[in-house]
Amino acid sequence: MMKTYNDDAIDLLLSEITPKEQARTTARMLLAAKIADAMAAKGWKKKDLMLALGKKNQSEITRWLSGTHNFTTDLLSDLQDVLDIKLLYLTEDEKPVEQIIQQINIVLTVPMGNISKAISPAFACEPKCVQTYYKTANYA
Amino acid sequence: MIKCEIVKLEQFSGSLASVYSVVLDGEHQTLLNKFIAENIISHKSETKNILKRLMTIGHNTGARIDFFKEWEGKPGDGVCALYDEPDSKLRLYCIHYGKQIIIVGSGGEKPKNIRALQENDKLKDENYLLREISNQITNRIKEKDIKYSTDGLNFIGDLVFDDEE
Repeated sequence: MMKTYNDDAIDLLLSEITPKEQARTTARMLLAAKIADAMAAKGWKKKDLMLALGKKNQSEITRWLSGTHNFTTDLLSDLQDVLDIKLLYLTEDEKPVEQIIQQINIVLTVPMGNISKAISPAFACEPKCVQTYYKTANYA
Repeated sequence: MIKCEIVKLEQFSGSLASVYSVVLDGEHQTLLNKFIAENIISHKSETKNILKRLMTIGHNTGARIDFFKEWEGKPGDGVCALYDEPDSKLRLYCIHYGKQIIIVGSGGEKPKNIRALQENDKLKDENYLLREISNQITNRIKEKDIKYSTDGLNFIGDLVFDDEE
């Protein structure tokens, strides 16, 4: 069995990728990841997002989540509205784009009259008394 | 059985995912390197884009399933294709093991006039090769000859397939 090998073609091509080019790809993929996380937090499938945005083709959502899509400002604005997340950072005091808010799995116990009901974050957006917990994760 | 070795590509592997490829017996390069070498002239921009995506997967996002076109192999074998730009003509086959490990194989140009990969000999060969390798790895995992590291980022065990099984 061959124990040594070379990656000359890979290394050659990697040497030609500029930090700016890499950053663009990473930004697209991080946006897709953030959208997917927000959908998961709402318990949404692709069809739910499609309907919320008034789209007719689920394959469009698949493309957004694939991390290959170059999002327009209008689309990001629409996605913010329906997913209740921040994707555009327009003032100085807001978080930089590389900081992604990722929901973590915390089971919340919410008093409901005499009954305590455990709920998952997927339902956290429904009752107004429930706080959704986030952690800030820097993917870089 | 396909004689080969599964090797980790340190260039792409990071804290979020590890990227592996395959060195076939008698070869001196990984399947990914072969794929790049085959397409670097005719599809330079697309091959570059694939490497950028692999870099981001390893270091920034992990191998999220949304980044891959699923069901490119047999049910449950994890064989998939990495999504590229919508107008890309290239198809790169991978084996997906959760968010933390992918094995990148090879692929080729997907002509617009075909619907199924079986209609193109090159794509079929590369895809079926990965299906077989996935099958061999699954058997080793079942036999506990290959395990996952505690952090889930590495295969531990015998990654050389050179005996008659």
